[in-house]
Amino acid sequence: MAQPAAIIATPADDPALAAAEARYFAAKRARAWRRRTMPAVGILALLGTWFALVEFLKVKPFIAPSPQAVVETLVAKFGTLMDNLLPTAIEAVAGFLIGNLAAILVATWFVHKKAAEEAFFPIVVLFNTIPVVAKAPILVLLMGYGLEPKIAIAALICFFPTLVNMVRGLESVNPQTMELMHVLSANKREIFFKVRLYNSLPYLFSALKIASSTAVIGAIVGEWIGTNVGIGALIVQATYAFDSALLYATVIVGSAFSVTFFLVITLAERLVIKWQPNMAV
Amino acid sequence: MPAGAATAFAAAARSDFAPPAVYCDKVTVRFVTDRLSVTALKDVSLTLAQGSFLTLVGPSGCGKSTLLRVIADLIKPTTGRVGVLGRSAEQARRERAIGFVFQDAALLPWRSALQNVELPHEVGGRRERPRHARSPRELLELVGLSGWENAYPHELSGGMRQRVSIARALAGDPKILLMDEPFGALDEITRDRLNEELLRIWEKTKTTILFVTHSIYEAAFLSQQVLMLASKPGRVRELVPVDFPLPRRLPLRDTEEFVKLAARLRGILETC
Repeated sequence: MAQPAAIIATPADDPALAAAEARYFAAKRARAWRRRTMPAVGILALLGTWFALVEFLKVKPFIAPSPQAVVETLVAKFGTLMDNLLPTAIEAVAGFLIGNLAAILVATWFVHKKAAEEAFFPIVVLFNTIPVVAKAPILVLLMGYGLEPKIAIAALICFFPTLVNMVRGLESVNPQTMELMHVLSANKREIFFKVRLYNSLPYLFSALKIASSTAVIGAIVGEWIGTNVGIGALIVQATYAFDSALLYATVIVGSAFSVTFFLVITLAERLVIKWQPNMAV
Repeated sequence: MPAGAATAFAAAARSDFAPPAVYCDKVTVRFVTDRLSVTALKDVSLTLAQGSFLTLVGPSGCGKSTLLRVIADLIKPTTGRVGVLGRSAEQARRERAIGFVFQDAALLPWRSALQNVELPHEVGGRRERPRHARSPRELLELVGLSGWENAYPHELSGGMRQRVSIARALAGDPKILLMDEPFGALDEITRDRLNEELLRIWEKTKTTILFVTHSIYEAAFLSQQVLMLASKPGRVRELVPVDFPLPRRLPLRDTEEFVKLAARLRGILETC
């Protein structure tokens, strides 16, 4: 082919190039379609297997319910489920806010007073080693049977991961940035609000995402003792009543709330962090 | 005090009644750690007149960056005296006499180009812009980045990021610009272009520049004087004057005189 010496061919003048481009976009569309459909396929397969196992093995309803029974319970007892979700949600969100705020403040203190970190960090680690199920009765004894001990448990469970991440985020400032702030004679306050705080945000949000699900777990575990409302209490009641359909429905409602909470935090992260974190600039 | 430095100091003081931009007298810096102690600089003396352009060249570990950091008051010398514009280094830093350009641009990734250049006016105590100082927008224009004010660092190329950091260092009109291998990580074409532009900026702003580099070509092209440092311990080897007239353009590097000077510098570097 005696083509004129065009240095760069465009799809318009080269059919082979146009075909390659078309193939690329077709493959890209196929990948996007697959990413969207496959999770649904997975969930359907799980439901199908569950249904088949219960149906063919003739599992008794008080041991495990069939998917339809769970859906029927979700619809029939929607009011009860929501009534019990509300206190759990309040405890989880309040605990999340208190625990994380406390962690952020303590991290700020630790970063500015090394002695405080050296004195109190071991204690924090020690408290963190106590399992939630052991903390719950202690707090119930201390704080009574209201919402307070559940909020405290949710807060405690959020506190540790956020503290550790926040300290790291506040401290891991690029050394040249610290030198720059020194050359500019910036004081500690300016360094904190102009540099450290922004630097810590990506770390903070990864901790908040973990905390969003653990706060709900904390609230539910707190409700296992000494209360008769909330997702945790409903789980205990359904178990003792051998109402497996209600148990499963309750678990699903609790998980749905956790997922929603997680998604809200993820959305907030996208709105707040518009730059590209962890890049060398 | 060595006689040479003292007379140069006195001469500078007499000639235009202005103190030298930078004056170092027998500066020694020792770093002590558990495993070893290193003498980064040993008895380094240096006098730099205001408005001049000096490059520091030497092998790795010769203390080039350390010397820059001593002048910027980032490191206190173990012994010896440092004067900046007739004041102590700390005083000069507090008065914002010094701008520093780091090896990686060290921009704040959450701030736009313009906001990064505005940073020096927001920190370090009442930082009103001196009346005759260029505004952040003008500085971005000076470094050839008009139209990029709102771009974030991750949207800029390496060369553009380094331009932003030069604009930031020039904010508030510092008398002295300290540059620590600012173009070391850039490709050669970008580096050449920025070299030419830095000379243009220097002629325009009349800032004193101390420039650390590994490249003898960069040193010979940019500066009026090349200070060669030897390593282990870091000490002054030789001060080489560079007499090429201004303005300098890139083809200068193909002239016979330039090649000769580069060869001479390389010869000295080999003995460092």
